[in-house]
Amino acid sequence: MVKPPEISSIERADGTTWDHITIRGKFFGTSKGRVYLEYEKGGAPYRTNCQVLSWTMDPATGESEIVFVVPRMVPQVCDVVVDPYSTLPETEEEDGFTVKPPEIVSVNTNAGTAWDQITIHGNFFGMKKGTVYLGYLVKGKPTKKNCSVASWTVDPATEKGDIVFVVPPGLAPGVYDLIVKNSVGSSDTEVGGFTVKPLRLFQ
Amino acid sequence: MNPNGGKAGDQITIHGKFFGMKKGKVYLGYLVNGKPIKKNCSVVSWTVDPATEEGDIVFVVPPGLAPGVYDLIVTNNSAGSDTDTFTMSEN
Repeated sequence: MVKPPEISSIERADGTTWDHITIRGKFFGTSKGRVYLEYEKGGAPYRTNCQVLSWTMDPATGESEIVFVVPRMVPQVCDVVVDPYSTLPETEEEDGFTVKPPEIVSVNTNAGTAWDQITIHGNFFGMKKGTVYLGYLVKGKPTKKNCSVASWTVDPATEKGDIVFVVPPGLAPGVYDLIVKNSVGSSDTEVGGFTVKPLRLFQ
Repeated sequence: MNPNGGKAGDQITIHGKFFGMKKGKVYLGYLVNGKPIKKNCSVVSWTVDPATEEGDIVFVVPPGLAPGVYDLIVTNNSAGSDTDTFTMSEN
């Protein structure tokens, strides 16, 4: 008798695009099936297919494990759907995974000048390098200055990471919004998070 | 500034903050017929402590300037500048 698949655990409850997530359970089947992240879009369920890196099952015990990649998508609370190969029924973990936007937690210094290297500490920056901006208003219109990113590192186990960016030249002294955008366009803004200081001579 | 005056060829040290990590420019400024003119000064060193943002600039007083009081102008790459005074003495 064919037993229906069961999800027993999902490695993490949240993460971001390009993360590798492990699903454990039973009776997923020995052949690779599909994994979806499902959420509501326009009042109807919408599925995003996930790349599956590995799909294994012990035929003797039925113990199974899948590793999938979180796809490019906007932050959402998602059901995790395991759809085994062939005629086996699918199973899902409701609200099993949340795709998170980047979060700025702290900045090593909130003031500096051109060419300074500044470190931003935070969560869910994503494994692929994104973009850092200093934002300001020109005649009431929001404008962003792109900052060179010297390093973008994330601990895949904890999702905590550090971004080192270089303060760009050409910005007038003043207060700027600090904006971190990940590789899929989700962002977090620390309003007034960085001040470009004016050069000062000691008299 | 140490010292706050000198003659052509002297090396002068400016102390300050937020100079920036990349070398900027030092000028001595003056007026000719009411029009501001700047004389570029050779910068020997431009050092900043990244932890405190305090730094020192050493520049050379350029030749060809008449004795008198000049504006000492420091500019960096961040559209920032600050001005002090510098007294040029005779050689």
